[in-house]
Amino acid sequence: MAQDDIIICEHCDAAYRRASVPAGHRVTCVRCHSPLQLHPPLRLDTVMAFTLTALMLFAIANSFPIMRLELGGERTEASLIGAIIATWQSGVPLVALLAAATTVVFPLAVMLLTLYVVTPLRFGRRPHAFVAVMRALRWTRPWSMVEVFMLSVLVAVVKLGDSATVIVGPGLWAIAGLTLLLTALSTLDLHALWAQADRVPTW
Amino acid sequence: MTSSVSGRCPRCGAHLHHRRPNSLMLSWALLIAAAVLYIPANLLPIMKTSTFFDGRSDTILSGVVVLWQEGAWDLALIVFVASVMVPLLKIGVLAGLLLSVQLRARGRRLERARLFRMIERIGHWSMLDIFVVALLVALVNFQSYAQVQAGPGAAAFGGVVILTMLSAMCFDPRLIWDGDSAVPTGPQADE
Repeated sequence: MAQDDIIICEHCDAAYRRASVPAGHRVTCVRCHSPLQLHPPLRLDTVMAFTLTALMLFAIANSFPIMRLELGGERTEASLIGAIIATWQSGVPLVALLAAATTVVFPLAVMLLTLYVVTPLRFGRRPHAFVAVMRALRWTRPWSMVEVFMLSVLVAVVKLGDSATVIVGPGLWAIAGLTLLLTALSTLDLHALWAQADRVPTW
Repeated sequence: MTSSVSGRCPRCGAHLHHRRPNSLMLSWALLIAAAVLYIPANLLPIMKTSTFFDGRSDTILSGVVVLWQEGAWDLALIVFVASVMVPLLKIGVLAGLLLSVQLRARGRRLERARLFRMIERIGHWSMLDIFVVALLVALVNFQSYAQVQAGPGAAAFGGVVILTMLSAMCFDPRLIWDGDSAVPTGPQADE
């Protein structure tokens, strides 16, 4: 049976026969109006390039300060990791764990898993443990919250700006870029990857 | 479709279910836990500021009020929406959706489906305040002048965000459409 012939709406279970869609058109479910296919689909080359760039920005965001603060001759600075460690030491480890999971662990997992799946597919091979990795990818994606962290950096900058001198560091620009790339990668259609993997031999 | 009722997906090997098992029960349990945790999240301080002259504790709401009084109404609005409106809206909407499914409501299916997609999309923005606290703790750490520490309210609030996200993930939006025969659906398509 050709699995690719039928699309089922994930939100309301309505069944459709797949049809070719002209470029630039959106396919939505007639019943619940949720998107059936994400358009335009990202090309595998694009996904690879975005993921590799995102990994580099991630390294920068973690090794350089996001911002510095000056007050009466004293100076402090915060990097992503630094903020997490400081919160841990401040006596509320749960907050530090949440921040670490949603801004470091899960974003990194999403990037590595995406790269692991997409790189072999790009060269016409199905990676080992494809099923397990795709499942992991599906579960980790909602927990990556770099874009929320980006907004909170801006809130903190404005909040502190009145009482101290705030100097923006290179980490901030890295996080801004990372936000854009991860948002673009979040539109990656996992169903399209499944379909692709069905057509190619295992590595 | 009916020919492959072996209970396993031929592609990924996952167990097949007509509807997500125990969707309503899990979703309710997580939602009630979130609602209970919402109380300490708002009553306990999320942040303690100590300066050379005095010290103060801020809850989520008092933090918004302070921002407003300092004239940063735009920031106050962002934080108010992310930390107060979104969690309340999410708990309210999820409870409404769960009730409507349990009472087998037939009206306004499209609106309910849209509401669900909306709360799924906005839910994680509530983490904003948690991250702001983490940044302030790291930055405002001047031995002689001022220090900021995280409070237990922040942990409770983080718990609320996580629990409401999990509750929304457990909810099966297809339940909204059960009993609606306007279009052919997956498992029943061939019957």
